[in-house]
Amino acid sequence: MKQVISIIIFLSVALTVSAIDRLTQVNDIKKNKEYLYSEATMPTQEEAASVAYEQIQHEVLSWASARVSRPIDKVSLRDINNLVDTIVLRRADMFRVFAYVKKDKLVTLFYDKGPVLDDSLDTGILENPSLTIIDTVVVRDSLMTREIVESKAKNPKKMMIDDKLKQELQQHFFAPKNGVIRKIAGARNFFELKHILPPLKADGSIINYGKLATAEDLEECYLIVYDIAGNIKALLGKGEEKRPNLKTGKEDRLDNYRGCGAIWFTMKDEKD
Amino acid sequence: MKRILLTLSVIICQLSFCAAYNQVRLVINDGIDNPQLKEKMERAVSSVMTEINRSYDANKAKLAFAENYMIKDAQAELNKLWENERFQCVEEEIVERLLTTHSGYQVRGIPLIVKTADEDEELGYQEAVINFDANGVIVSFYYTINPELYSRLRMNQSQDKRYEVTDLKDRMMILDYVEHFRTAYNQKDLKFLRQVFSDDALIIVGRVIKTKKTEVMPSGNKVIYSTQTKHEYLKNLERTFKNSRYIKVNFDDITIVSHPTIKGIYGVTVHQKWNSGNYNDEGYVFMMWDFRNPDEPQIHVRTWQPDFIDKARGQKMNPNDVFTLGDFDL
Repeated sequence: MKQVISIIIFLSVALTVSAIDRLTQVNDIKKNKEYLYSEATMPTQEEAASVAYEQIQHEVLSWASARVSRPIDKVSLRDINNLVDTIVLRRADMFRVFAYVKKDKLVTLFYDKGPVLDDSLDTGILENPSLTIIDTVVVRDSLMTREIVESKAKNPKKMMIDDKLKQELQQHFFAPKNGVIRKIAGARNFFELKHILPPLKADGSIINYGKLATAEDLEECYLIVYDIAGNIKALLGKGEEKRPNLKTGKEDRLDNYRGCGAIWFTMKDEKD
Repeated sequence: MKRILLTLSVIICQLSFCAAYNQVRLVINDGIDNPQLKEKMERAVSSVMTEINRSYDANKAKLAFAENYMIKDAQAELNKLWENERFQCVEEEIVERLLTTHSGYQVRGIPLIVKTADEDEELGYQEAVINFDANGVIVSFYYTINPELYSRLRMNQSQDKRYEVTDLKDRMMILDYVEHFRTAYNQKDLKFLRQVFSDDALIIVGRVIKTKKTEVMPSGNKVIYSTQTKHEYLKNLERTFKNSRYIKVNFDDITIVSHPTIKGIYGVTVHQKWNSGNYNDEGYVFMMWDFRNPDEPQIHVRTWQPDFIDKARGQKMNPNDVFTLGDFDL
């Protein structure tokens, strides 16, 4: 009898410690910027897992679309799911499924689609205009670094933005209205834009602005792209399909921001 | 010796649980660059949730927090909820993203276990949403609608990349009001409901009646509708509030549609589960929300239709028969 009680106590303590460990692991991952994650708490484990996977797929695609230079249509959801790990916990009578993936793993997945920008360099160009465009391309995987170096050796221009685009970027950074772009680029989400765009229009710094659907001559518009959460994801210069990304200095396209919305604005491109 | 070790391990385990149940710490992992403001909001939520846990353990009748953490109105709202339900956060550390709203910030996903006010009956798992003003002071504390549902709605699953900036803002604002509205039933907050329904609000309630079986209606069941004024509806609701130990309302499906011509008018359809202990039902609630004055949004129409026309036969309400914005003129 004593043995049975001891075993029950041991098991309950072991299970509790294991649950606390898993909870700590979940929180550690959530605090670590190297991971993307999602979670769902639902009555059954199947329901929670289904929603958690759906959400992480969305997280991964949003993350990739902001960093990969070419469309990501060819990446299947199964490919994403294969990289995702899960932790299952109980919350009262509900199941909590926590799905996560390390961003490094995604570099391999999206490798064929182009280089991945380092998060920390998203605003590098604006903060330091002297940076050359090529410096903003940072790769995380050693294999990838090697292959990109090889590709640069074969065709140095392949990794660089063309001269016209570069000139356009330079013009924005050093033109008298540079401060306007800088001001707009400083907005973190569209709620902040509400306080930035009207005064700029009022003082004539920008000519007009509006929702994407109302743009009359889209090629002549600058675009502020925001994601589903309202966070500003990109500030794109004028252009047709290819546009300069005024935050990263890279060539970019509106198509790279699937699921995002955009605001256009126009301004005079005055020269000194 | 073995017995002592065993007893000690059990005591340590219990103590660690007690500590975990009382202390709560919020860590904001994303969504804000200002470290002082971030720390202020973390401290506010940590302090409030820890106080809630301590009040829960001590069976306190009223919650009280420092005003620099939570404004008075929010404390009063939270106490209305506390009068009707008791809850505690059972996780020692909460790590969540901070969201930006039209008037400040928001943190979602605060895990709660809810019980009836007498703590006799467990009402299950629930998540809380806490809203802050721009200075990081808590301005409201509500139960969330289904978190996954919120996330999808916020994303706007239509995947239309041309959805408009104001749409996302309005969508978040509508969802915030839907969460407040849903919590008002848990709080038995007639004052808020009186305020949110317009004076000439149209209330329609469907109910299933038995009729003669026909080819069109093989079950013999059909839904008939009756209308109520705002006054009648709230009077009935007041009676229900008085006779129920608790009201548990869940929305597990929500559709938000904007009016095609009048900006600021939205049709919100929810699948509602109502549980007040002695009475349960499931059905569709349609509401016509008017956000033309965003500071005082109003509901002009509220309809309720049963989920099933004949539950025994599994005959559900035809989704095409559920009221929508197009059924009403403004």
